[in-house]
Amino acid sequence: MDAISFAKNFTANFKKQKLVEGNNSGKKEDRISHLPDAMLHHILSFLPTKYAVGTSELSKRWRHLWASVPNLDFDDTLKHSKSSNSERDINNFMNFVDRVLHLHDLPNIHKFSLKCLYTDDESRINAWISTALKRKVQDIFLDLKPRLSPFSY
Amino acid sequence: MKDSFNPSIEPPKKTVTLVSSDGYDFEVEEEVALESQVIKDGFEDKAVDDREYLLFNVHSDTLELIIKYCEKHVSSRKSISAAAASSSSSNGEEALKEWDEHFISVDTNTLYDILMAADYLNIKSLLDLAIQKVADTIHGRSPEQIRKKFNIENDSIIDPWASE
Repeated sequence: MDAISFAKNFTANFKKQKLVEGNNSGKKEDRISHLPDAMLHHILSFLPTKYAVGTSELSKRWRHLWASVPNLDFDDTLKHSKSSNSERDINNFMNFVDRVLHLHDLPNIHKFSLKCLYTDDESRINAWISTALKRKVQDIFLDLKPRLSPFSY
Repeated sequence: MKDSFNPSIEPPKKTVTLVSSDGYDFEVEEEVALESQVIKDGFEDKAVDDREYLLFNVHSDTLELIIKYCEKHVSSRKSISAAAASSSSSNGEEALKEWDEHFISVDTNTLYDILMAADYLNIKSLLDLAIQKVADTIHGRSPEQIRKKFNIENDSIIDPWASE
């Protein structure tokens, strides 16, 4: 066998192998999107809200699923960027919570968890908590930045 | 010889037959089958010779895994409570957690099969385990990475969170 035909053979074999692999991966169907809504809500309820909402970008099927998840879990330490928590990160976080509470469409919230170690806008935090209470939240977890006592100096 | 390891004489184990969607019979101990809330509900009302369950939604491949999981959990619970009773130290809980972790480390297709079967049979601990596994795959990943992981085709036209 001369070098050229060997190379041809080799390429042919290589292609064949690739094709088989391609077929296999083609068989991999999108099963998660075919799970029932209730199951997907259950899956999303295991995630911080930031990631649950993030799934709305996946496809049409996922766009509104997060809005019916009974658990909300906000955590301002889950940043967008790796850099230190800037004013911008905090603003993004506050706008995010506002928008989620506005768009979330369940009349009842099962679990509401709020961790604010950088955010200290009291009026907004209060508004979020009262929204959760209005939606008859069953379990509420708060982890807020300790306030400086006015008597400490 | 084997009997010397087990001095207490136990009555013969009662069994239940589970039939998979593809027609295979699985004979399992009653307490293993009772891990399923669906089987547990109304179990006592069923005649002893009628304890056969046709599981139309569970394929034999999946059923085998589910039974393995239930058997492990039944036996672990026993040894954990035995250790607690004799107040000897045991790392049973931790060992079981490790076993669970290993058990659920399967390909995505198998994971969905387990998920659907655990839901259908209402085995809460297994359902939570499988759901946590899927959630872990989503956690902290970009939409593109998630699509790749789950073979999701992006058919969105607009991106509602584009300003994020």
